[in-house]
Amino acid sequence: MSLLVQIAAEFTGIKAFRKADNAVTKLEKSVKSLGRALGVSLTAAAFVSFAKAAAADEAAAAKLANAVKNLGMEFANPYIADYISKMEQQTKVADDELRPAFQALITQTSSLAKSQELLSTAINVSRGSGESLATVANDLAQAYAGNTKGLKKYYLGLTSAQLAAASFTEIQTLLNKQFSGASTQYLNTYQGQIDTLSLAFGNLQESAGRAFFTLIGGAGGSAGGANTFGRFLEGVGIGLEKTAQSISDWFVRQTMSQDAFDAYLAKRNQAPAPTPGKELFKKSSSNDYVLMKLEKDRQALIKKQLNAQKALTAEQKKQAALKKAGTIFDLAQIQIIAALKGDLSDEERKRLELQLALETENVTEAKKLTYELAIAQGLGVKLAQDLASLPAASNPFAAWKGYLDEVELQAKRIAAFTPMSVGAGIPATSGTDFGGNKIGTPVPNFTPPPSGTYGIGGGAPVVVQIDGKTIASALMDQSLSGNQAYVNRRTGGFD
Amino acid sequence: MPTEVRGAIALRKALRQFEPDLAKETTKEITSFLKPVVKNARGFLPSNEEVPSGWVKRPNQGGRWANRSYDAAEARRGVSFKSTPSKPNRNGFRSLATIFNKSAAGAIYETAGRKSGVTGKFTPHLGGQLKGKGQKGTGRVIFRAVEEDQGKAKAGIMKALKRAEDKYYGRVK
Repeated sequence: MSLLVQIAAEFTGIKAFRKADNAVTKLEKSVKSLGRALGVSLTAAAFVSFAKAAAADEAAAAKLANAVKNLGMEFANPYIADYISKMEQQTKVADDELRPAFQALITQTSSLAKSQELLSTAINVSRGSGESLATVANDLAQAYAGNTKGLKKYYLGLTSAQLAAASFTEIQTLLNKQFSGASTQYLNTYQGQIDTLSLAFGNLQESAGRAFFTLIGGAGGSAGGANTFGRFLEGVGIGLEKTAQSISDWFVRQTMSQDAFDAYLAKRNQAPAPTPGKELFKKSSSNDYVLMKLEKDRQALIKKQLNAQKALTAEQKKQAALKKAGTIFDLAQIQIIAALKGDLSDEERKRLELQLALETENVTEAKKLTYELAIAQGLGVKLAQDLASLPAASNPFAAWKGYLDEVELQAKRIAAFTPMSVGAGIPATSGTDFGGNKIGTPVPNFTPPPSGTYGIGGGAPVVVQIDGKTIASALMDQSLSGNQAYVNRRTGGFD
Repeated sequence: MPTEVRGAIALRKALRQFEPDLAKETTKEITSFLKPVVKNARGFLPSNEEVPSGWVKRPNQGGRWANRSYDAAEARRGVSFKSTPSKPNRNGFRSLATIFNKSAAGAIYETAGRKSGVTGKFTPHLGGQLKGKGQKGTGRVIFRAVEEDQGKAKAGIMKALKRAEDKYYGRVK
């Protein structure tokens, strides 16, 4: 690539940019024409925000699912999602608010049933007091753990001391009593209707956003997705039906009294707001039953584990107490303790303490005292450390057996040796022996001993004994006597 | 960063199509501004005796450095200009006029030491001066020539385009 100096450059755009630019322009045109038809002002940017809303909704759902999973209740996630959805429909509280509130409660209580109960209470309290659902849920979660500071703002008629002293059940009862029916009343107000509209439109945005993502995925890119989505909107106008319905409801409300509007809504099968503390799943009892059963089994398992743990701890305590009691009758320890009470020098005291540590198997103390004793005896610091950390000594007499076996073998060989008999194979020669006798003739006045007396030529083996014991076992006994005269550990030999 | 203009390329296209003599005249005018800069730039290239002897191209040279060895004549041939619009680069820009240094040895001489500094055993012996703006706009040959030109060529080209535009619209009306 050559070096360039560019003069008078002009931006002409990149191919990919141009393609996307065209797609967005087309989408803008489609959306604007649709908006004109509906009499509202819509832009493509609005649909991008819908996509964001869908993404945020998904992220919140994933967050709650993860929190439930971390509590070990992953099995309940589908039921919780269903519960949140139904709760949203019935109370007209957006799932964006319900999920964080539920998460706070379930994290604190670790109980599905209790969290549902508290969420119902929280919705009523939120609607009655004007506080946000998140704040109320947080206050309830804190109160469950014993921190009732946040409950002062609800004016329950209790002093700080009374709040601190009251149990959570009492506080919950008070809240339910004070804010009962607040949610129902709220939905009938103007603000409640606006919120209903907002919720419907919010859900529409999320649906539109999800549709957008689906189309992007199908078209293989954002430019293609925008094009396809624009055509889809032009052709069908999907997703606006719900909004149209909500807008229609609002208009209807302006033209009739409250009672008539209630009747109108009742005709449309709108379920009443939940009564605090009562189960929400009247219509979905199978879900309810499954959840309750799972909760019960889990509680039973936890209780069983707890009891087993308690029993184990009690048993261990008992054993430790018995062992400690047993040491009272240990004579060696009694003697050492008695000796320690006497008047002793430092070195003697240390020796006794070391003995006691060895008796009671107190390794840490034993090491420490060995070290101190070695220092006290004038040994070098390094040597004292080495002594304190010596591994278990191997048997110094291990090699002796082999040596002694060899000696025994040699002795047996000697005993078994058969010399050649006198005269056999030796030719007769003239001449005399050292005594002057002629060789080959009997020695005068010589009486030979009886055969078998001496080892040569057969007979009993020679046995060497020390203190009435054979040499091998005698030597072994000597060295094991502990007498320093016989054992020299440093040189490895023996005297 | 080169001066950004709008519509210059479209103008030149229109000139070529509708006013060819005006197009030729404009091209000549642009060339007249670029030639002195290029001549200057060629003058900054050293002769074969002035560069390290090991780098000078030898006859029948083989290996990797066969195409990278320095030959003054080849390097001078590699420094030139172009007055027709270039292709868009990765950022989407097209230039109306370009001065380039095409040869490998010329590029080595142009850019040696502009990132790591004039250090070591080779770069300090090259001579020349590194001039320009920014790391990628600095060099010993074309960048130095443009820097020393102080934007006169650029201004002249802009004026030439403006005159061409005025003449074009004057004639079109």
